[in-house]
Formats: sequence, structure tokens, C-alpha cells
Amino acid sequence: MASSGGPFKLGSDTQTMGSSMLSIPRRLSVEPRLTLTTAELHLLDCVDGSLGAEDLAFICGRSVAEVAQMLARLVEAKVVSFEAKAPIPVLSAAPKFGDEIELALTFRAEIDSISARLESEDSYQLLGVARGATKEDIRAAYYRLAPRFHPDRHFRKKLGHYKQKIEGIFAKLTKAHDTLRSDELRRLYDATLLRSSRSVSPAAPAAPPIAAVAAPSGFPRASVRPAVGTGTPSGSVPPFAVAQETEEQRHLRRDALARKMSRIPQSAPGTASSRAPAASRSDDPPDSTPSAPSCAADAGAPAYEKVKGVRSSDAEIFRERFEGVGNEVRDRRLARYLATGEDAVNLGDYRTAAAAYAQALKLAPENQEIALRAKQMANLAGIP
Amino acid sequence: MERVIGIDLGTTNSCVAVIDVDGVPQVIPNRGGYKTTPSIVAITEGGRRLVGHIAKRQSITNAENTVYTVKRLIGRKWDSDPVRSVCGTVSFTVEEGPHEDVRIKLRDAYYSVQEISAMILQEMKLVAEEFFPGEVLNRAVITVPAYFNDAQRQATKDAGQIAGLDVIRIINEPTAAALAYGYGKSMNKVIAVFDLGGGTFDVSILEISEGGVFKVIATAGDTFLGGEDFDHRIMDWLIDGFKVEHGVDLRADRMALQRLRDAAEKVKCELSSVSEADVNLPFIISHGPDNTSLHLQKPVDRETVEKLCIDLIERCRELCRSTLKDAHLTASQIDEVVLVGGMTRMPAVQKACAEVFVREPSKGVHPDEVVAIGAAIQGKALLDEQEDLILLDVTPHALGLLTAGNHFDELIGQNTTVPTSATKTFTTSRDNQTAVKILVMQRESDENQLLGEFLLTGLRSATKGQIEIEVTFSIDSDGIVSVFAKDCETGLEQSIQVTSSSGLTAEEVSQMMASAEEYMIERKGSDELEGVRQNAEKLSADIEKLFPQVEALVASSDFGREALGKAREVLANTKEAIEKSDLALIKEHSEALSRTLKMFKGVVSRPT
Repeated sequence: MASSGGPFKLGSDTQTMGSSMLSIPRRLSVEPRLTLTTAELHLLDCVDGSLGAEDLAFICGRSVAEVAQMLARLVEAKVVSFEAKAPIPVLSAAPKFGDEIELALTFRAEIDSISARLESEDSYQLLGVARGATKEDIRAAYYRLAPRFHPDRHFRKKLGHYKQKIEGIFAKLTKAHDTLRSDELRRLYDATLLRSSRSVSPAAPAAPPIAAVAAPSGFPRASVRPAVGTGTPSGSVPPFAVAQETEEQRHLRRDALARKMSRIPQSAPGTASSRAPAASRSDDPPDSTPSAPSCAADAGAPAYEKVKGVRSSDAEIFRERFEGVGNEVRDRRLARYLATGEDAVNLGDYRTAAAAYAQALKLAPENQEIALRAKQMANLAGIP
Repeated sequence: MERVIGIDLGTTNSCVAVIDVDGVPQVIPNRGGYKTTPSIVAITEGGRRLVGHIAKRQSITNAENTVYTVKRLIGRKWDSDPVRSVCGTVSFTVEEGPHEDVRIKLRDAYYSVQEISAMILQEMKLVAEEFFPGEVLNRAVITVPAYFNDAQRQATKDAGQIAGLDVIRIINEPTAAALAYGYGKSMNKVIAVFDLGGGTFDVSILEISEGGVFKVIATAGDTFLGGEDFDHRIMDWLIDGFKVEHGVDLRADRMALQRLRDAAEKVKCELSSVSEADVNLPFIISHGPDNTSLHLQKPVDRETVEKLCIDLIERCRELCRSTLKDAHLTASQIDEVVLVGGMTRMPAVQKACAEVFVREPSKGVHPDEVVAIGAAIQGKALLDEQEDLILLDVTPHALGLLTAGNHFDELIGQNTTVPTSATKTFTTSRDNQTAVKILVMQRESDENQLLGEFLLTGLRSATKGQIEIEVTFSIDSDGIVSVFAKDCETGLEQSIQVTSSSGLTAEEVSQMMASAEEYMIERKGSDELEGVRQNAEKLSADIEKLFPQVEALVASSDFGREALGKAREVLANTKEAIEKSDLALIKEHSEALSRTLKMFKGVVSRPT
């Protein structure tokens, strides 16, 4: 972890390295501030912190002067820097490209552009075929396009939010193909296309009712327990009652089975408890809700009060982030705040939830999901 | 690039394959030279673990501690029909585990089904590692029947983890077979894969497109229809006949049962090539007050077996027809039929397959090895960026949620290409309902299995039908299901990633991993001992062979006699060390032995 070296050692390392890297362009981990051309994106893909302008010129098949000009644009777009690294590197094992997404920028641009028109285009446009296309045309178009957007092409690469985008494109293409290659579905689809071009909003079908749990405030937590019975779960409360055996009896029986089948000798209860699953199970309250991560409970103090009590200053957060075990502590705290938030939402206490998410956002300011959630909660709680 | 092994973890036999550097698929033979290894695990009286052929060989004498057919139990609940049916026929002891799962008792210890599967996987890993000395092969693609559900897939993944494998993907057996069939060829074809293995039946229809794209169009199957069911029919017939003849029920005797099982399998295989064969089991049971030995001797002909299994074959036929229907294809639109699994050697099965698809099946692939090869191909395709091959598989079961009145509302249909997602709007079913429970279900045949559930709370109090909730299901390329629910009015959201439980806790899995690793270290240690021992024995034998010659040449001098004495001492010491299985000591003496042998050889080759 980052704690082993300490900030000073890392800082001095960077300084010595920095002086030799002054003329080498380096990729910054931000989205471009300007719209870049394909050629510029390609150049940006090649910038890896070790290649100089001449090498890049060779790669791009352009003159050094041209590349220098393009690099200047990239600097302007704030995606490339010629300066030494920032004084506080996060970790020595930072990704090579200084970017958490392992996809070529040219491909990213393509994905973005297709994603943007995914909703507005019809199946024919998506596949790039004419309305009168034959089945063979459709087949060929699909097999040419779809594999490029299958996530397996980028197996075990970091795709970030592009994973969802790629999967979205793939699913849409597949749907288009499956529809247009079936005579019946294609006829129906063509009919809808015709209709929608005349009237804008087709009548939406009535939504079917969902399995309901009539839940006033203080929802009984026990019913959130994952179903363990083999019978079909039903929405009524209590949902998973098993006829002959009470919950407690079953737990006792299961624990006994776990003890019996553990390969640890019974005579050593000390070691048995550390390995036998029974021990940890019995510690678990039977009504713990799966929606709230258990970190809220095992962190010691009740998480609920923690949020109310702690008004951690920015300075404290800063210290935690940059000193020693910062990351670990931060992650744990983040999980706790999120769990508290989730609990509060379930209890309908939006003020607490808003506070918890606000704290969480301070710890992870770049997390869009948390930001969204914090905003929602603040709205619900009536906090400006 | 690091090699990825493809493992076909079968009900009766398992197989392992890799893709060579030059792109040629290779099935790896085990120590005995066989390309498939029986999926059988046994624990001997001395507590030693046996896997594969050696486990099979001792299965009659050690019936109670020999496990087979675990694939029929993996990922299943204790309280389910398949488990009950397996319990009634196997010779080992099956008991209920702590999480409604199944545990197997072997010599006073209980093992989870995943652990037993892990032992087989470990053996396959060892087979591969022995074939590529010095390489550690951790990455694997494992195949499962296409019709396996989420829990069964997860359990198989856990087994891989326990075996110390990095399971990069679980793929479907018929799909793997199709990959092997079409790998390296450029074609535009629609093929059907008919896969009748030891325990399961799958049929898949795929479209192969030039450029190496394999798209599954439809798949169906039965996870409880396979060679073993054919064996059972023959067994039952033999047992019933014996009962009529002698009035003795052989089901009560585990050893007799095990012999019958082997005999039934053997006669079934024989009847694939000849039309009549004999079952001959002398001294099958002792009976009566004076312990008279009874023998089972019975001729069986092909027709009888076909009659016994007629409904099983009919079930295959029916599933083929329904798959064609799901694919919106007629039999004439299928360009090729590929047969997979040992059971497809049975003439009646081939005939049924040919009838449904109106064409003779292709004989181009090896029915026992093709699945492992396909798994290895998929492994290479995933990790090798130069490889263009891509597999577009489908979800074999429909996904949806349970709505009021226990009605299954489908969001993602059976045979939908993954990755995929679907959104549907639901509403409340009662007045003033402030929470909804989202029950994520998988539909398997006509039964619904709960995958996971969560609550969306904080809904506005309103009359029923007013609140709209948008539910989105998605399956990613690893088959992971995520569900996302949103209250359209407040924007409140709630989501889960369905992590299907295989019946073991994470703690148990890591504990089992540790003990599997221990075994591996021990096993590698014993492998080393074995190697050193063999070497020492060979050296000793060579020395002893030269002894008389050397003696004749050197015995005349005192110095020579002293040297001979020392040589004898070394031989005796080595023998003792081997008896004690002392690795360090054998190693030490081996050096002396090779020095002695060198000297002896020198002596013998003296110029005269």
C-alpha cells in the first residue's frame, strides 16, 4: 500500500525522474477540453510518457513540426503536459497511460458518437442498411458490426463507463438484427415505423402491478431476508414461513450440521470457531438486511449515530486521504456512510440519508453515482 | 501469451485441452495415455485420495468411499427431486449440508460437491502441467451443460476457485463443440449440436459466420438426461430379472450394485458396435442359510436396450423439435449436425437425431474431446487480441420478476443474446403502498427460481396503480445479472447485482481452497519422492547388473575389495531409505549411487 514508502520518498523520486522527462510529452488523465480530430486522438493514443516528438512523428507519419503543432493543441486541450509530474503521485503503480480506461481514443469517440444516436435511429439506420435490404444484407451487416462492440473483444480491460455503452450498442444491434431477419417481426416493425412517422406518441400499455408488500413506516426488516425456503416466495408478510420448522429451529439444525461436517476436531473449540462456518453464522443476526452492507455493523459504533456525531472537517478528510493508510480508511468510511444512507432511506429518514451521502461525496467527490444520490436525498429532505 | 486450459468437466469423464502456440488444438493425455479421465474420486483406507482411472479401478472394493456422478448434484438444493433420485442409486453416502446443500461422506469426513468437483479439476490441471513441465497453468475455461442454471454455474465456478484455478469464463458445452467444429474454417453455416453426455442432454442451434463469429440462435436441454439414465434402465432390468429368477434383491448390496453399474455401462457400449452381448457377473451375491453363491449371466441384445430406453430417446427428439421451433427454423435449414458426447455412439440415438434433422450427422469431430477443445479455443479468443473469433451466446433461461398473485413477468426471454438489457414499467398493487419488493426470478422449465430480491421504499402514498416503477434487468458478457429499480416520480433508485449462491459461504470456499492447496503441495512432494525413488532404483539396478563383472576384475586387490564393500553398503542404505520413504536420505544416497555407477562403468570398460 501507499503507506510503505511515505510521501517524502515518493516526492524525491519524482523530482529526479522529472528532470529527465522535461521534453517528453505525458498524458494527463482528463477528458479533452477541446474537440479533437481523429489524427489528434491517434497521436494522443500514442503519447505514453516515454516517446519523444521525433518518435511520435515517425509513428504518425508526419513531420516533427506538424507533430509539435498537434502536441501544442493537445496541451491546449489539457490532455498532454510537458511539465514534470505533480508533486504528490497517488501510487507508484499508476496505469501506464495515466488513464483508467484501456480503450483507444479513436474507438471511444466512435462509441460516443454511436451511443448518442442509439435512441433516435431506427434498426435499419443502426445496421447501416436500406429499408429494402435483403436478409443476406442484414446478416452480413450485423456480423460485420456487432463483434466489434462485444465486450469479449476487450476482455479483462478496464472499460469504465464504456463497458455499459458497448454493451448497449451490442444489445441494440442484436435486437435490430433479430427483428429484421424474422419475416413476422420485420413486418410488425415496419408497421410501427410507419405509424410513428405519422403520430408521435403511441399509447403506452398499462403497467402491470408488482408483487407488493404493504409497508407502512418502520418496515419489518425480517422480511428482507433472502429466501431460503424452496417454495415459491410470495409477496405477503411473513413471506418465507416454513410450515413445520421455525426459523430458529432451522438455524440450530443448520449450525449443528455445519459443526458436524466441519473437518476440525470437536475437541478444539477455539480453532473450530475460526474455521467452521457455523460460528460466523450464529454471530449473524438472523434479520440482517442484505441491502445494507454489514460494514455498518462491524465497524464498532452504531453507524446511525456516527453520522450525526461526526462533522468531519475537510482538514480531517485531507489528512486521511494523504497520510499513511488513507485509502483503506477512506474506503471503509465510505462504505459506512453509504450503508447508513441506505438504512436511512429504508427507514424514510431522508435528512440522515442526505447527511450521510453528503459525507460520502466528500470522500469520493469524483463518484457520479454518489453525487446524484446526494442530490436526490437533499431534494427529498428539503435541504437546498 | 500464457496458456489457457479448456476443461470439459463431465458427469462420467473429464477432458483437458490447450491451443498450441501455432494455433493447433491439442487434447492432453493423462499419465496412462488416455485422453479422458473418469470423473471419479475415492479416498482409500489409508486416507489417500485417488482421482480418475485409479479411483475407478478400485470402485468395486471400495464402493462406499468412491464418488462419481457429482455433476448431477452440483449447485442443487438438498430438497430437490434430482438429489433424491441420485441418493437412491449411488453407493456413497449423501447427507444434508448446513446451507440446504448436499454433502458427501467419505471416510468420516464430509465434502461439499464443489470440493469433489475441485479434486477432479485439480487432477485435470495436473494432467496439463505434467504435459508442459515447468509451466504453471492456472487460467481455465470450464464448460457446463447449456441448460445449467445460475446456481449450478456459480457452483462450478467455485469448484474452479477451490482447485486454485482462475476461471476466466464458464461456457456451454454444445457451444464449445461448435467452436471446435468451426475453428479455423471460414464458413457461413447454420449448425445443430446434439450433445448427449453422461448426465445431461443439450441441443443448440448456431449460426457460424465468416470472420469467426459464432451466434447461438436457440438452445434447450435437460440436466437430468444422459448415459447414466440409460445405464440405470439396463441395471434395473438386470436386477428385476435376477429377482424373478432367484428371489434376491441385489439393490441391498453395495458391491453388487457397483459391479452391476459397471457391467451395464460396458454392455451398453458394446451394443453400439455389436447387436448382442453378454452380462457375466459370477459370484454376484451370497445367499441363503448356507451362503450359496449366485451368478448373474444374461445375454442382452440391442433391441432390448432400445426398448428399455425408448422414452429417453423420445425426450431427446422432443427437445430437438422444440429448439428448432424456438430458432424459427425448419430441419431443412440446418446445414450440419454435430454429435457430441459418448452416448451419441448408440445407433438408436444417431437414428433419432438423423430423423429429426433429416440428415446424417457429421462425423468430423471427436465426441469425447471436442468440448474441451472448444473451451481452450474460447480461452485463447478471450486473451489473445490477435484472435478474431467471437462467441455470441444466449441466456438459456428466461429472467423476470414476480408480480402480484405470484405471476412471473418476463423481462429477458429465453434464448436472448447476451449482453442484453430490458426495461419494463410496473405499478403498485395496493392502495397506500409505500414499498415494493423486487423478486428477481429465473424460469427453468416451468419452475421459478429466486435469484435475488430487494426493496424499493419511500414511495408516495397513493391509490394503487398510480405509482410507476421502472425496472431494468441486464446481463453482462460474464453472465452476471444486475437489476435496477427506479421510482419514476421521486427518482429514487435501488439496485442489486445478483450474486447467485452456490450453497457455500465465501469463508467456506477459502477454507476449502486452503486445504486443496495443501493437498497440491503434498501431492507435488510425493511426485518428487516418486521421481527420486525411481531414479535411485534404476541406479541400484544398473550397479547390481555390473556387480559380477566388476567383482571379477577388482576383487583381487585389497583396494578393490574395499570399494566393493562400500558399494554394497551404499546399495543397502539406499534400499533402507526407499523403504522409509525418506526423500532427503534417498537424494543423498543417489549421489553416491551415481558416483559408484560411474566408477563401475569405468572399470568395466577398461581396455584389456
